[in-house]
Amino acid sequence: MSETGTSTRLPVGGSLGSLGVRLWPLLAPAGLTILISLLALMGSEVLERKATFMLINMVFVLGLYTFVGNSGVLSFGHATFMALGAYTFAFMTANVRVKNTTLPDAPGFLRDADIATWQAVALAAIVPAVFALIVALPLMRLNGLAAGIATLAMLFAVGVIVSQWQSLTGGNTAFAAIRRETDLYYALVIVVVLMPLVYLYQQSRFGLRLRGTREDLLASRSLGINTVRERTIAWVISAAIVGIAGAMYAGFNGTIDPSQFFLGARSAGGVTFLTIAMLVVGGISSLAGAVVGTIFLSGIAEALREVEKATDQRHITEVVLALILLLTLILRPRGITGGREIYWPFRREQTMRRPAAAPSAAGTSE
Amino acid sequence: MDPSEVAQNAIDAAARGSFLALVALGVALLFGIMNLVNFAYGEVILAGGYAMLIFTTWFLDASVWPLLIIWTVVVAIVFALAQERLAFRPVRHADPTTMLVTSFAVSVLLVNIAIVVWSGLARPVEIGGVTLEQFTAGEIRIRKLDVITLGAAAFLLLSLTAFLKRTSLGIQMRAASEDFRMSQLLGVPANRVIATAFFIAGILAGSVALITVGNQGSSSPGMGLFPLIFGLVAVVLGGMTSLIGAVVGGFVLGGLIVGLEQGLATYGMERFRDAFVFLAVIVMLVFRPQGLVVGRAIRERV
Repeated sequence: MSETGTSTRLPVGGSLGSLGVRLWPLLAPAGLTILISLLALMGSEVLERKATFMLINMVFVLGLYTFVGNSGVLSFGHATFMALGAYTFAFMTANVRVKNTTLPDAPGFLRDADIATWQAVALAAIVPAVFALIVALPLMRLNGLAAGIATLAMLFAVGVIVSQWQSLTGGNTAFAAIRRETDLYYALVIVVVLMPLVYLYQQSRFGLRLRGTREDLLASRSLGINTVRERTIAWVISAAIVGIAGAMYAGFNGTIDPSQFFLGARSAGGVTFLTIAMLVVGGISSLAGAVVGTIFLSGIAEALREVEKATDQRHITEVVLALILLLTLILRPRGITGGREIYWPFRREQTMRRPAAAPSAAGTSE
Repeated sequence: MDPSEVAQNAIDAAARGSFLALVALGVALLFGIMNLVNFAYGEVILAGGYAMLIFTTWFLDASVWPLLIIWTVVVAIVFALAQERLAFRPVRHADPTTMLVTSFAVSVLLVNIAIVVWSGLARPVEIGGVTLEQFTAGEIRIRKLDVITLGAAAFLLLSLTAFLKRTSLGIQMRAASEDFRMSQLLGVPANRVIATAFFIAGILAGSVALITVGNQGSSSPGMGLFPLIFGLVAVVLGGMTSLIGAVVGGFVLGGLIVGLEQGLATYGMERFRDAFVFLAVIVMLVFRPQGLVVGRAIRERV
């Protein structure tokens, strides 16, 4: 395969201003996220926690977007990676004495593990990534509906193992005493580090090739693009990112159990539904869509949680979110952003000519 | 394994298989006509379950069972048709993935409405002792409910076959599932064919609801999820492209489940049964995506 194919690489040189214009599709969503987080910091502690939770979801959606948005292949299985990341983080950071009492049959190196938080987060990215690499072998060959069903099967299969392997994970009982270090700053730092990586990947030759397969599988194949390889790269990166979201969640909540990640009778959609809704409502094929969708639905969800508390009526949030997702699919199937990036609004001709993002979003004027 | 044990396992497999075949048939019917994998099909079953709860608590008790059956099936049909009209018709021409997400949204919506109205806990449904009665012949036990399930499945399969082979509408439906666009060009009305598919799927879902509630004695928000997921598994195993495949897949899955239970029990691993079932799905999708029974070619040919 030719290694020279891409013309829309990030600009080298040029004035700082023009770099800003070029990077606007990254700077705009990142700036919006930082702005909202800083506003939340000035508010109450409750607001701060809500913003932290939003950032955890954003990391998940960024990971989901890295695969689904760039490849166009739907995945219902990403909550698997979140669970793997969360359990990895839990094993590495939970109180050693508690682990030894609640999980006496788990391997000793897990029971006695007690490593630095950043190391645990790194491990929580690596474990799901390795798992993703293994399952990619069969899964990345599938397209369309088959891929959707297979990723769902992966979610259920791992869900059964995690919830039934009593001696290792504690089964359906909560894994408690996890080190609680996820606060707003910590979450914001992770988002600010990951978002440029996601953007860089999508603008890299790997990302552009993958986007080519999304737009036309056969044409891109005839150009020599190895679909399975490109998808596998995105799949593994996205698993690592979603694994980090799992670590953040475990460190945010302090306790985890399988029902928080896997679909089941009690979860009623759960994190799988929430994150898919965020990505689809925002716009599945752009970074801006992932970020805007997360912020938009987080805002609505958190407002509704207050209504739930006031009326003592749970699950109103899920009802409203499902309705919003349905209306989006029917009325604006490409999402709020229309699947486009946010471009510098005052651009001159020269930046118009080379749209930096998705082939589908080329010719950005509506 | 002695003969009576073999017979017992065969009966268990047949009972599960016929139940799964009913679910799978509903899933495959919608897939064949409009390329829709309908997650929300489980919530048609759910609607049937809560219809039974409403019937037995507000109207009459379950001793007037013919009325209960009719009521449950009618409610399921209404829900199936409403799903089609309100959610799936607007996205009919979208790609299969968009329809899949749509059905996921409908599913989550209905489950959560059920939780808001009836809480997340299972609600017992008073349907008399039919769930517990069983026949015994030597060492073999046959539950009355399993006999009912087998009978209902046989009846529904035969009626559906007769409908598809003998009636004009049935022939139009088969034509539409062969090639939807071509059949439209030849004068098959799309709306009527699709609505009929949802109507039949509603009848099947209502029957599944009756059997499920008969089995567990209660209605719960999660009651549609597992029939649906296993029905989907059965469809993938049997072949997504033919109705016969769905029925075959249902019975194969029934046999697989009973076999896995027996096999894994010797290692004390029967808790992990479902993990193996889902693994089988992935293996099937990769190595034989057309399923055990090959129907028409749906793959885009190049």
